[in-house]
Amino acid sequence: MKATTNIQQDCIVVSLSERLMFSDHEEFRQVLNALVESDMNCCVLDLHDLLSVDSAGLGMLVIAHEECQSANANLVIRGANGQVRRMLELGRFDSILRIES
Amino acid sequence: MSSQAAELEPLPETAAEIEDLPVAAQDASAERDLLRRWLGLSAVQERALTALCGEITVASDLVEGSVSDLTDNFNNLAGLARSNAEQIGRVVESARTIEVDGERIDLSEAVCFLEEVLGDVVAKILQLSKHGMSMVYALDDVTSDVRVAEQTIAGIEKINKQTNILAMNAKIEAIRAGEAGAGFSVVADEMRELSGMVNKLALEIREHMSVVTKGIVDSQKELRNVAAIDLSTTIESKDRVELMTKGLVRQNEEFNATVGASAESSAEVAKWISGLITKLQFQDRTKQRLENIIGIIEILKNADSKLCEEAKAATGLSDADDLNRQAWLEHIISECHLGEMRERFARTILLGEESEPESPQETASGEGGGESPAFLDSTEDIELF
Repeated sequence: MKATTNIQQDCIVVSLSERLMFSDHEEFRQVLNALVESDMNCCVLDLHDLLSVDSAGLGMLVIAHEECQSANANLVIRGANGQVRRMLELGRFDSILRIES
Repeated sequence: MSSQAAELEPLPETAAEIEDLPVAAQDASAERDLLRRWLGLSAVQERALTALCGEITVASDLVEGSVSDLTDNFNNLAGLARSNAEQIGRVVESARTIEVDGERIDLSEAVCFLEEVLGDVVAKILQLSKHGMSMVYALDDVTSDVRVAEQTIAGIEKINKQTNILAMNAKIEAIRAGEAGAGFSVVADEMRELSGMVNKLALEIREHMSVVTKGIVDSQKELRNVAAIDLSTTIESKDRVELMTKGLVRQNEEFNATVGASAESSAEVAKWISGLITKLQFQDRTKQRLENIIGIIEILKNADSKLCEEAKAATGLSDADDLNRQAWLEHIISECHLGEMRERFARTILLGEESEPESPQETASGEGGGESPAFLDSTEDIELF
């Protein structure tokens, strides 16, 4: 997994690419820290270039959502497609956070 | 009338006798001849009408019997069609539900339940993954803390080492001072002893920390093995199972629609057959008309017979005297193309019998008895049955 962080208007946008798997948990920890330490209410994970995600990756996304909630921020997942989008749908992520196409 | 007939002169019979008569007498003779021929024809008509009444009865009975058979067959067909529709209805009901622990559950309800269960499974997998990753992060934090503790121990050991060197230097300086440094030498020894004890404690702590670190590393490996189990195929299988169950429901709906249409067709067939049975009541109306026709023919026949008898009594003529009678009979009979009908006609007209008409089934199997007139053996028969 690769992550790039940008600030767009009032949001911190972290774009993930390649694959999000268990072995990426240390890099994803840095993403979590970046989101929480940004002190922004709007946190966006842009998954447009993410090719696939496994169950551990889905677990990490849920942790990101809870970490943002603890920091009084809202997490938005944006641009998921293909296998990633289907996994989010099967996991009913739309019932716990905001999904944007 | 009979007394008047008895007083009449005998009539001339031969052509020679007629030619010898005067003109007025010749006219009277011609009228008498016409009357005789009419009487002959009337006798034939009387017997032919009797035979016709018999044939109408035969035809009416034939239609009645056939219609009765048709009605029975149609009733059987209607019963089968209704039974078929009921059986199909039961099949539809059976296909729409499944039996679970003796309880009938609608298939769509079962599919919804299955989807709910699968949704719960996926939600639990997500929770499991999340908790697993939280544990991984917690152990990462503990590992970091242990590293800090190990660095702290290293710091203690470094300070202790300097303290030990300091104590050694103090001891050397105390020896150089001689008598005056004796007390200071004791303090230096105590410091070295304390330093050795601190060093020993630091070593013990390091050993314990090593055990803790090893435990964390082992736990992390175990957790990694658990968390690394990819459950995404299980999550994706939910998608597949949902597609299969939806396909099953759709297929079941199509099956129900097709079978339901078949049940409707069967019910429609039963309805049509009932309509046909109703229409077969034409036979009853036809029979009444034929009975009326027979009644009218009987009236005409009786009137004809009565008039003939009166004419015979008045003129002394006999229908047996008509030379054309045989020709009439043969002409009428030759028009009958059905063998059994011709036989009955011949018996009635030639022999004056009013035999009971045979049943169509019996007569259709062959010609009549051995006493039939010769022309009954004609090869011109046209059998319709």
